[in-house]
Amino acid sequence: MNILFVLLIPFLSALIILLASYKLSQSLAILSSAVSVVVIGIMLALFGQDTTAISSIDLPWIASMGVHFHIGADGMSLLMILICNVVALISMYVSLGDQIHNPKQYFALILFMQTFMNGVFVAQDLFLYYIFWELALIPAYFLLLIWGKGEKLRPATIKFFLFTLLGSLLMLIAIVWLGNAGTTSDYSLSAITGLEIDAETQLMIFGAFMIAYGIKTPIFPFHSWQADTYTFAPAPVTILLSAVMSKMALYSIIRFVLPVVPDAVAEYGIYFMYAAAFGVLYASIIALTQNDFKRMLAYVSMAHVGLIFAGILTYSQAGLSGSMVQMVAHAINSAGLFFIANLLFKIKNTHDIQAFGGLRQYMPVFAGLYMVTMFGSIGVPMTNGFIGEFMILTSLYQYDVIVALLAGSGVILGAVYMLRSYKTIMLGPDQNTVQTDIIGTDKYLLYSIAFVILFTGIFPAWIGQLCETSIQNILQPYLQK
Amino acid sequence: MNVIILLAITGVFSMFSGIFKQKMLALPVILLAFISALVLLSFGYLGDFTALTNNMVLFDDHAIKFSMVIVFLSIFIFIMGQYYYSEDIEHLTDIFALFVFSIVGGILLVSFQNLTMLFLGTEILSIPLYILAASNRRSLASNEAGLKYYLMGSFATCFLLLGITLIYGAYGSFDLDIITAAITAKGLSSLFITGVILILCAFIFKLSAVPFHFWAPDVYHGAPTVLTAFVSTVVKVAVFGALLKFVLFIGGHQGDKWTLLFMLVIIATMIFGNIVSVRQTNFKRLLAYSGIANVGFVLIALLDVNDLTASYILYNLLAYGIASIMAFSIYSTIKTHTEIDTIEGIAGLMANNKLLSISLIFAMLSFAGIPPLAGFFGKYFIIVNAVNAGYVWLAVIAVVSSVIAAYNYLRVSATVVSHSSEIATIPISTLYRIFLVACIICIVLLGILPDQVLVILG
Repeated sequence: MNILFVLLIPFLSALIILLASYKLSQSLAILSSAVSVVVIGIMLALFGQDTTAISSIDLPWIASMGVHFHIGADGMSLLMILICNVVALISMYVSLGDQIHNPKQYFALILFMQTFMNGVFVAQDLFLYYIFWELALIPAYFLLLIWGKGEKLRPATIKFFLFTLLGSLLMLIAIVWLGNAGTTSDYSLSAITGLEIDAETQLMIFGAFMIAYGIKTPIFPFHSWQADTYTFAPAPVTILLSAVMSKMALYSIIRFVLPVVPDAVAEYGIYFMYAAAFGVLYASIIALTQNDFKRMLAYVSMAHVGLIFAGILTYSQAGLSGSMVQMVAHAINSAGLFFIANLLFKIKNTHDIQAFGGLRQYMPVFAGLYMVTMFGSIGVPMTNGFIGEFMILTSLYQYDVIVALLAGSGVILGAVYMLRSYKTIMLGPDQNTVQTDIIGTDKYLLYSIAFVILFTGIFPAWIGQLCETSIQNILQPYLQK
Repeated sequence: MNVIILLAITGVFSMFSGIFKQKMLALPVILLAFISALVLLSFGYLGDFTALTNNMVLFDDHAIKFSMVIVFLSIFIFIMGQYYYSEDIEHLTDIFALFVFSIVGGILLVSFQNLTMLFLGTEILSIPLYILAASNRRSLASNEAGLKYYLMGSFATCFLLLGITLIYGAYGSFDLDIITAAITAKGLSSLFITGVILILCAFIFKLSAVPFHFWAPDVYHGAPTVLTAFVSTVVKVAVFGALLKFVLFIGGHQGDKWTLLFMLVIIATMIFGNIVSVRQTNFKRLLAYSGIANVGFVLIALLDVNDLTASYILYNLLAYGIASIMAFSIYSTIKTHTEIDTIEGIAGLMANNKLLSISLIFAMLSFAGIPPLAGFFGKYFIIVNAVNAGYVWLAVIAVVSSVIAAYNYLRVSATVVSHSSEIATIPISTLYRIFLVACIICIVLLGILPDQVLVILG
């Protein structure tokens, strides 16, 4: 099966939606995303039997610069595409309940974003990767601007764009250097991984890449765009941003930073780990003080991705496997939590936690599913958040005790703010007018999210198996030294 | 040379078509002539007029490529002009004739082989522009722009003439080949250096680079928008063509002496253009300043001249030119129908004017250098070339200033899609629709196939 399908299906669907009647756009978009998920499911099944089953594409594109249109996938890429498309499908479903103006453009933009994010995960040529990386930002920018809500929407969106653009341009300089470091211009991943780079240059490249990824993830101190952007964006877009776009950066560190500049990672990675681990604590403390549920979730998301960021930089088997598991978990949990925030918003038209209270007696199903999702996010055993968090913290502890302590205290605080918000919203004094429990697609979607949370919590091994070869390949340059 | 004759006849035809009340003929004939000119240029049917012109013009590869881009961009300008002047059909043919004459001047300019031709080309290019800048007779701003442009232009011409005179005084000839031979024989004279600096000043003037930029915002703002689009695209191509040729000519004679001068101009232009544009509220002025900043960017390519420099410059100017013409034409369309000329004013354009908004967004994203649109590679080639030549810190300044520039373009595109207000539907003709779609296709194609475009331009 050819990997090109993961780009073609959403891209062509977006074009069809733009041409078709606006009444059809919603169903077409959901259909297309469902087809994508099924296709990726088939790919995973084929890949499980034979790792060469997914064929790649390698066409010369800009010959004078040595740039190829080269896409392909290994286990790790497939896992990321799976996350991306499942989350895109969730995000389309979440849009179902909202009355969206201009649905044609809206769904087309989401599908374009999906295409380009898939592109980031399958690109095997660094220049092509950069173009997908940059392109994924454009639909996000317009989705925010047109469908976002908030007083400072425009400045916040422009800030988001400029922050990431600045990071990307630094990364571009590093990519151009890497592409031209050999005898001929060659941006292919295999050529770049094979380069022998001296220590000083490694530091420069490491710095450029890590600032770009630090901004996109985001980690402390590059996070200032994040809370506003996540809060102002419409719920489906927030889901895509936090569940997939932040993974683009985390995936890129594993794929491009670790094997290309292993010495710099070993030597200077610790500084970024400190920053990320401090960010976990910092974001958790801010989350404690938030009364806006969506804004609190933005900080929760920052705490979780900060932990994964630090885990990746340990450059160890446990850290990397744990990060992969935790990336899957964070994608689902964060999609679930922002979906819950959206459901709450529809009840009272506000994100203020204090406006809610005693919802559980009216909405028992909602309360139960909310609790499962929350447990996933806290990392209670038997949910998907536990195993990854445990592996990452173990690897951090072996690497550096202070980092582990900082990150660990953030994780403990996580339980505090999540349970506190649950208590206020679901249990506290009754503040409701008229209430019925969630119904229809909302209910089934939340059921499926809860199911996935429990399923991956009880059977997490498949993630490790899927990524095993990829992680071994990435660890190789490090183990050789 | 055939092209110059063809276009000059077209200009005369355009004037007469006005006299004989055949105004609707003008545009089709001009477009036909320009497309034939493009064909002539690309297949090399240029005719041999060396003896006739006394070796004053030389149609080498350099001249052909620059002429092709000039002619290509002019086609867009005429389509925009037809739409722009649809209200003022009375003088349409005269105006078109002036544009055609100016383009002839541009082609002469990029093919100069003799300093006299450099002067003549500059004047043939500029004089119609002075008239055109003031062609909106009832507008005070337009008259002011015309006068200002004329005075400042004459000033630049004085520099140019004085420089040419000094070089003539040093070596007794206007011909580039003879001067080169004389320099090898007699050595570099201080008169020559002074002359070259004066001529470079004139170029900087014409390009509206800092420190000779002050006329540009007012002229760009006051002049009819078609002319502004013309001056900031086609004229820039012509002047850069001549400048590149001149730099190649002086480059052999202690080129590093001019490098410092260029560097100062580049840094000042990029920083000034981008920082001042942040504070602009008028859309047309914003475009004018972004034009100034882009000139600074293109000048970087002249620091390290090699075989590919011409194609990099042309690629950038082509990418910038198409996006720029599109943006100016959209500005003028909105202005004509709604009297809006500020950036904040176009808030909510998206609501009822899909094609206009999407085109404007494409132009802005291309300006901002988002891959894989044309603007990205336009900047990319120049920066990579500079880094390879060792100007790393200059590349860093260029990158930082393009992030500042990106802010401006994002600001515009964010305003377009904002839903704080709505602009009523603006009626646009089918021709104009085709024009916009063609521009978008060009921007995307240039970006997707940069290699193929470079081969054509190289």
